[in-house]
Order: sequence, then C-alpha cells, then structure tokens
Amino acid sequence: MKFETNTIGPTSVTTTMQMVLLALLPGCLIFIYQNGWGSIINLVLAVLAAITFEALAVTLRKRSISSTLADYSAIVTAVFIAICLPPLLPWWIPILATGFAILLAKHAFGGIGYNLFNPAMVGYAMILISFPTELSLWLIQPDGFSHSLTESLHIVFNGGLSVIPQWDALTGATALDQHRDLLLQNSAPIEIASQTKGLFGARHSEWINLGYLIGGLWLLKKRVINWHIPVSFLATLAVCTLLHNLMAGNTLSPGLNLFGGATMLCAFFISTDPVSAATSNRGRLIYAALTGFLVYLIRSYGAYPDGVAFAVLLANCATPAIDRLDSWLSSHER
Amino acid sequence: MKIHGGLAFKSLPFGAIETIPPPTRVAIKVASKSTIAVKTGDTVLKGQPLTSVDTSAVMSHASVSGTITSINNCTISIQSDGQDTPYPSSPQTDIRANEILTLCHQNGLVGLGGAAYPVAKKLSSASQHNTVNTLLINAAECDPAIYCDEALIQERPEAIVKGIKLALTASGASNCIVGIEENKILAIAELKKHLPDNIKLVVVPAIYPSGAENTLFTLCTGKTGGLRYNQSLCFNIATCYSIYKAVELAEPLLSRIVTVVTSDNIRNVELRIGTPVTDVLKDLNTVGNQTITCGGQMMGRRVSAEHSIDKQTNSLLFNTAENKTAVACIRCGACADVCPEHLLPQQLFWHTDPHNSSALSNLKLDACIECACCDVVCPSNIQLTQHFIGAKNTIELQRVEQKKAELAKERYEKRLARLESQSLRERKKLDRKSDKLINSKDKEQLKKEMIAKALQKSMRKKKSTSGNSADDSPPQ
Repeated sequence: MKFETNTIGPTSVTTTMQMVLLALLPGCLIFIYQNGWGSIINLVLAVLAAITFEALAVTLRKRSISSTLADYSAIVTAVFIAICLPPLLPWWIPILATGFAILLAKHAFGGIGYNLFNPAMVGYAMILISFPTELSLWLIQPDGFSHSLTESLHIVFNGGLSVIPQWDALTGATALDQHRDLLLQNSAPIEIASQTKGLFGARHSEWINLGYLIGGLWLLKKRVINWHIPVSFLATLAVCTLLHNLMAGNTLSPGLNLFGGATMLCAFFISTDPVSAATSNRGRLIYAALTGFLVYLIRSYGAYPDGVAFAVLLANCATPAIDRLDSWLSSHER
Repeated sequence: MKIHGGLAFKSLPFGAIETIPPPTRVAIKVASKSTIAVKTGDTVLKGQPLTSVDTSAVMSHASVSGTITSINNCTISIQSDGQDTPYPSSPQTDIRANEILTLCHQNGLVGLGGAAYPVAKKLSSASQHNTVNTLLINAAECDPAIYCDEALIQERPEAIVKGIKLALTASGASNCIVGIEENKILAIAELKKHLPDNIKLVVVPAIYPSGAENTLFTLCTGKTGGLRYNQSLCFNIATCYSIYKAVELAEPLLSRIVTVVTSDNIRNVELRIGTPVTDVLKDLNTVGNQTITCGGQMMGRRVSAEHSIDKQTNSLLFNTAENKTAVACIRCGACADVCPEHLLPQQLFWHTDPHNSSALSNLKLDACIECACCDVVCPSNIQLTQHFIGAKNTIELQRVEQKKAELAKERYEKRLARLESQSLRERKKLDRKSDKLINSKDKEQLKKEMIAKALQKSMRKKKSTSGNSADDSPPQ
C-alpha cells in the first residue's frame, strides 16, 4: 500500500527543471517567431556549450557526470541566457556567456544549490558589459524569419550582425530602447507612447511577456514556485511606475514596464530561482520587492534600457542580509 | 483552526479488527527499573504479573500461560502451553477516583499512541502538581499509515466511552474534548452516538500531523503553548479502552491492536504483547525480504524480524525498500511550506553540516516535532528529519559535556579553595607552634637567665660568707 499525498509540488530536482523548461515554451516560441533563425542558433549554441562546460566542471570536481547532467539545471541556465540575447550574434558570444555562467557563477561556488548569484544573469551581465554594441542590435520585428538559415549561419560564423555593412538597415530598436532614446531627446510623451506602445504593453515584446506570464501561472498552479516573488516583484514595479508618473508626468507607462523587456521572465523565472533568492516566504517578499524597485530605478534613471539582470544580481547580493533580517524579525515576533 | 503546512494524505480502505492464532512463544519486554518477580522455569498463567507491584515502573504481565524459558536484558521469554489458563482476578465494583490510578498501575497500562508513557504516572503527576484544565482524548491517528484507533472506535465505541469517563474521573479535569480527524466518518458517527453531553467532540482537518498531541490540542482548543503549558492532559483513545478493561474487567494490558500494512492491503490485528514479528509474517503470508517499519510511515523506525510486539507498537509496515539518493538542496522552500511549526527546515539543514549549535537554536531546532513532512516534499530527497534528530543528539551531548565540564570546573575550584584554606590553617597552626616555640624559647632563656642570676647571687653570697678564697677572688 502506498500512502500518497496530492498536496505537493515536483518530486525531484529534475522534474522541477523540466517543468520550468516546459513553462518557458510559450514565451520562447513567440520569441523565436519574432527573432527568427538567429535566436534558434543562439539557443542551440548555448545549450551545447552548457552541457559541455557542465561535463567539464563536473569532471574536474570528480563528481558523477550522468547524475549531474540529468538534473537539467545547466540546460535551464543556457535557455535563460539564449532568450535574453539578440539574434545573429557572433557564435562565440553565447558560448562565452554560458561558459562564464556555468564555470564561474555555478561550479566555482560549489555547483547547484550553492551559487550566490543567478548563473544565467551573471553570464548575461558579463557579456552585456563587455559587448554593449552587439547586444543592442535586434532585427526589425516581428519579421525574424526573413533571413534564411544558411544566411543566418553565415552571419553568425563571420563576426555577427555588427560587421555586416548594411546592419543599420536590418535592425530596429526594441520598445524599451526606443523609449530610452526618445526620453533622452526630450520627446513629447504622446510621441513616446505612439512609438513604443503595443496593444497592452511594449510593442512586440508584450506577446513574449504574455507567453512567460502564462507559463509562470502554470508553474504557480503546479506549485513549482510560490506566489510571493512574482506578486511582490510585479506589484512593486507597478506601484513605483505609477508613483513616478504621478510625480514626474507620464514617462514610463505601467503597461510598458510590466509587459516590456524581460519583466515577466524575471517575475516568474529569473528571480524565482530558489538558490539565489531569500529563504523564507517573508524574505522572498522583501527580496522581490527590492528587485522590482531596482528594475524601476535602472529603467527610469540608469544607463541600461532594461536592467533586469543587474537588478537580480544586486538583489542576490542582498539575499544574505535579507535572510538575517528575516530571522531577526521572526525571533522578535513570538 | 488550521495548522500551518502539513500534508493531506488520501484515506485508504482498511480491514476490521482480526486476530491471528496465539503465539507459541512470546518475548515480553519489562521496564528496566522494575523488579522481576519470576525466574526461569516458573510456570505462569495468562495475565500473571511478571514484575513486582512495589516500584513505580510499568508492570508487565504474561500474555500467554506457559513456562518461562529465559530472562535476559529486560526481556522475558515464555513458551506457551497452548491453554491460555487465566490468572485469577476479580473485577471490583464501585471504584473511586484514586483507585483507578492504582488499577492502571497494577494492570501495566501505558499510552498506546506510540510514546508508551505510563498512564498511572501521567495521572498522578497531573493531580499532584496542579488541577487539570482539559482532558484531551486523541482520536486522530498519528500517522497516515495507522488505522488501529479508527477501527477500534468503529467496533467498540461503548467500551471506549466508558474508558473516557473513567479517565475523566481519574484526572479530575474540568472539561473533556475528543479530537478526531474529519475523514473518519464512521468513527465520528459512533462517537456522536455514544458520547455524553459533558464530553465535546471536535472534528479537525485530516491533515498530517494533526494527530500529534500538542498540535491536536491547539486545533481543538485554539490555545497555543502546548498541553503542559495549559495544564492539560492527553490520552490516546486506545489507552481509554485499556483503562476501561483494566478498571471494569480487571484485565491487564495483554494485547493491542496493530495496523499491519503490506503491499496490497491494510489490516488491523489484535496481537498479544510479545508476539514475534515472524509470527505476523507467517500468518499474513508476506514475503520476508521486505523492510519492516514500526510506528508508521512518517515517524516510524526500522526494526528487524526478531522484533516482538511491545506496548507501543501501533503499526507494522512491510514494504520493499526504495533507495533514493539525496542531491544538493536547491533552497526551493517546499519544506518550509509544509512545516507545521513554521520552521525553515532547509536553513536548519544548512547549519547541521558543519554543525552550528547557536544558529540551530536561533532557528528553533528544538521546536521540530520530527513529523517528517519536509522529507516527503523535498525534491532533492534529503532526509531532513534524520539530520535534525542527529543535530539534536549532538546538542544534547554537548550540553551533557558542558555540564560535566562545569561540574569538573566547580569541583576543581572547590578543591583549590579547600587546599588554600587547609594550607592557611596549617600555616596558622605552624605560626602558633612557632609562636609557642618562641615563647617557650623566651621562657627557657628567662629560666636560664634566672638560674644564672640565682647562681651568681648564691656565688656572691658564698664569697661573702667564705671570705677570701684564691680561686674565687674576683679579677683585679
């Protein structure tokens, strides 16, 4: 006789990671649809690199390769990196980002469960700082598949989009990029809105965000994640944006902020990474609120149009302090 | 009232109370502090006390009639003669409250929920120190794999209710609550039918571990802090049944109902105390190469086939061992979501290796009730509860060591002080002695001087009387 309970979430780390990958699917497919072959190439390169680097690190650390690779965590990291990258990058950039994430951010700290920082965000932030030009070149959306596979491969293995003479004609700014440029030019709010607004969020990327939202809600339902981080993160971001608009005139609409850039990806997938988040549910509320506030600050005043990666990494830094604060709070409440 | 976390298990069908053929040999454990009143070779009757009634330790009785074959390590083995000749006893009528306590002791009653705390001790300590507020009767099963109490309520409700009334009289409690889980529908109906008006029936959610006594107390009364803090007592419902049998029928605790779980069914078997597990295996036709867990699937412990049923064996689980390898904790927090005590198991786990006593006590390790909910939900298959039990033992060991060290230090300091005062005393003695010596020296000197003076005087006298003498003439 087996005594079973139906009130629990995933039964193994492998299942958790597989469910995360499954939940990424809707957003991921829309992302690929909008960005074409280039994003598929990024995805393949990153996943292959992740598996190779993970195997290498595990061998160096004298652990069992099969059981470590079987937890899918390296693949999840690779997918996170790939869906943050613009298409048609030089081939070595996704590999470099993944290698940095797996080797330095993950295994140098002791492997899965011990990393202080979200590995995917470490990898992404590193290349974002190192190659700002390459990482700001997005193809004109949503016509991602206008370049054939062979053409895309040719670009990727010959230095990427930025070395093609006519790259300027092929690329278009993302909504958040455009928003930032228009802001710097002191454009009228109405003009900004007309250029960046989609149906309900940021132009084009609202659909990707919607996909991640659907996947994230499924994760919530399956008890892979708790509601605390997404709700706290999104609420803080929305409240900050609204207050900002009330005080400084409309600059960044809540729709653009919530359904633009990597907001939903961060809310349900990146900041919910349990390893680098705070421990208790109360701690996680604080942690996610901090992340949301930092995203708002970077988007409104910072040098980067999106800022999710830096916000998550900064909040990761604060995690031990939040944990201490939380245990202090709980020791004083009873 | 709802508890935090916990786990809802599916309720499974279980069998009515049945018996198996009486064992040919029993091994009865006796309390280590009791005096054994029989010796090897004695013939005993069924129900005959094996230990002396004089000590406060729990008494043991022969569960079969036959010959004692061996006594070792607090275990008495009896070879049955197959007759089950009963030991003479006469049920008393018109029993007063303090006699219930005596009868509970004489009949070897212990709590049958799993902890096996002596009933008489519980009753007497409660009545000695304070008045009992609430008597809580635990009719909620303590483990999802145990159904013995539910079966007992369904089949023998009158006797149970009589037992509850006796327990209420003996404890002198001002009110009495029976707590039961909501999924035990038939048992609830039976209790509703038989319970008198002054005993309240509280139905609690069927969420493990609501059968833990302090948790159940909180669920039933809404009071926090636990039983002892609220001056309350808790008895398992099967214990009440044994109180009824002991008081009204003068029957010692010779058997108990054990839930036997095999791969294909759940049975409730009334087993004699001391029945070897092999007898159960034989009767149930179960394959022997399975692991045997005693005490439920959540908090149970592994036992060997040589184990024999004792008073706290509430269940036997036969299942094939599944070996899951633990992987690193990913801090997902599933454990914290199910912890009924609002603890952070993954943080506790982090501080068990390397062991950090102060961090563990900050995280309230001692509040852990070892319910093992966290083990069930952990996606990394970490046996958290085992780590916590280990850490508790380490802390206890450290405490004992520290106490020892403090005692040793105290002893050492006392010794130093003693030596000091001793040497001081000796020095004083010596001083006094030397003083005396000096004094005596002075006296002697004085004496000598006096003698010398007297001598001189007498000499001078002599001189003046004897006139001039050549030898004595003073120098000139």
